[in-house]
Amino acid sequence: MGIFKTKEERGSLWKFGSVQIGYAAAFGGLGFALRALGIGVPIAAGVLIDPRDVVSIIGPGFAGPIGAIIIGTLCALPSAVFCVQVYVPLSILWALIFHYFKHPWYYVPLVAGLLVVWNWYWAVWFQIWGFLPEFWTAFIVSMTGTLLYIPASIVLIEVLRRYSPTAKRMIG
Amino acid sequence: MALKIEYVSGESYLHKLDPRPKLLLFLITTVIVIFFTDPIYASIILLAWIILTRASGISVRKTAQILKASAPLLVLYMIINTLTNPANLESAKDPANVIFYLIPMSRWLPVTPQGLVYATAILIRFIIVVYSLQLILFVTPVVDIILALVKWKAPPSLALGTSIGFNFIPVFMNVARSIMDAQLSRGWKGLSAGSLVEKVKALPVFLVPLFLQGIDNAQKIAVAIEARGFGYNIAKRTFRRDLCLNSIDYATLTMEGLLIGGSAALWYTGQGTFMFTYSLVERLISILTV
Repeated sequence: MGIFKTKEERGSLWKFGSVQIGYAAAFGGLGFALRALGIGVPIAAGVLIDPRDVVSIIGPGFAGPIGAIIIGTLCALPSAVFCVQVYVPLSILWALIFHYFKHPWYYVPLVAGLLVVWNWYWAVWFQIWGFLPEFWTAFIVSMTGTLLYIPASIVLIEVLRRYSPTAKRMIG
Repeated sequence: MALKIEYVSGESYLHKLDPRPKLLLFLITTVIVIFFTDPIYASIILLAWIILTRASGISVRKTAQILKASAPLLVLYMIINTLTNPANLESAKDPANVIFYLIPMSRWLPVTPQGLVYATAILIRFIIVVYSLQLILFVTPVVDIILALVKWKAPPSLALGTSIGFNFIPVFMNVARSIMDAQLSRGWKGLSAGSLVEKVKALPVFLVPLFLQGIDNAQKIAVAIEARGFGYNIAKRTFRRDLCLNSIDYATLTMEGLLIGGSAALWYTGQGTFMFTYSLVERLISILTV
């Protein structure tokens, strides 16, 4: 069993047809709605974990890298401070991981990406806006959320693969 | 703390403006406030946005509602910033600069005037970005923002996906509420009850049906847009209402150009740093002590 998907399995990377538009619009709208409703998991006083982050991690697997731009933008837009610059590149990264890696191998770059790239991006963003001007403090604060997103995303992907043939076909 | 995506109709200057100069104005002020760390400069920009709000016939209170809702977060933001900003950390190396310690017994967490001035600028920067984006969303319909993106050569399929996504937000808000109610009626304790492990376990209970609903809706969208001839020739599609710049838009774009030029000149000559306000504060303190 190979780590990477074959050319036939993965199809065209830049394909953005009606199916991908549908997934991008649905998951983008879903991420936006979750943020607008203020649904979150409180982990400490004033610290809330957003379920929209899970949408921005898994959604790009369905919609591809171009759809990831829509998902990232719509997930970021309802935030008080524009964080499109964080969500969009990260969503594209998750889309690429789902595009090239087979199940369950995509969990390796996904977890590594979440632990390193995700926290690095958020730490830089926290510094730019002055939420937490010290890089490593910001990195560790961001990691508290990541430690929740990793198991939540894995469980969600496994359940979706099991109960939805469409999900299994789309994300592999 | 979430922005309101709501269009408030009106006949003001901002309402009549093409969405492109409006979006540019937001982007330009955001970039300027990132580069300028002086509270006086930042306050002038904030004041300009407040004047624009009044001129648009929109209540300043309504626009600032998001800031009011997040007041505790802003206080926490100011405290963390004062203690950890580079100006405070640098100036605190000299004990003569310290005005007080947050924990005086152990002389821990020093606060200096430089740090306070810098943190004030950062706080105003945050307020400007939130406030200006909210005002732009109040005076610009989402459809116009998407049309502006198409005019800026964004692929039409990308714009179509974004506009459908916007239209699906109320649908998903209802779906999310229904799923939450349904799971609560089955004995689910919600996302805020129990320990952290229980919260992690509770998340998929809510998200799985929501994702399945999302997949279902995505397929419906795909069929619907195919049925409306999406694949025919999207690049050559025409618009029911086209955007075109008029004299007010050109005047605004010229003003924005001057704003960029002026800010760049100030930046080049070393203005706009927190030291300008700090020197004024220092002078004021010396006058008061005399």
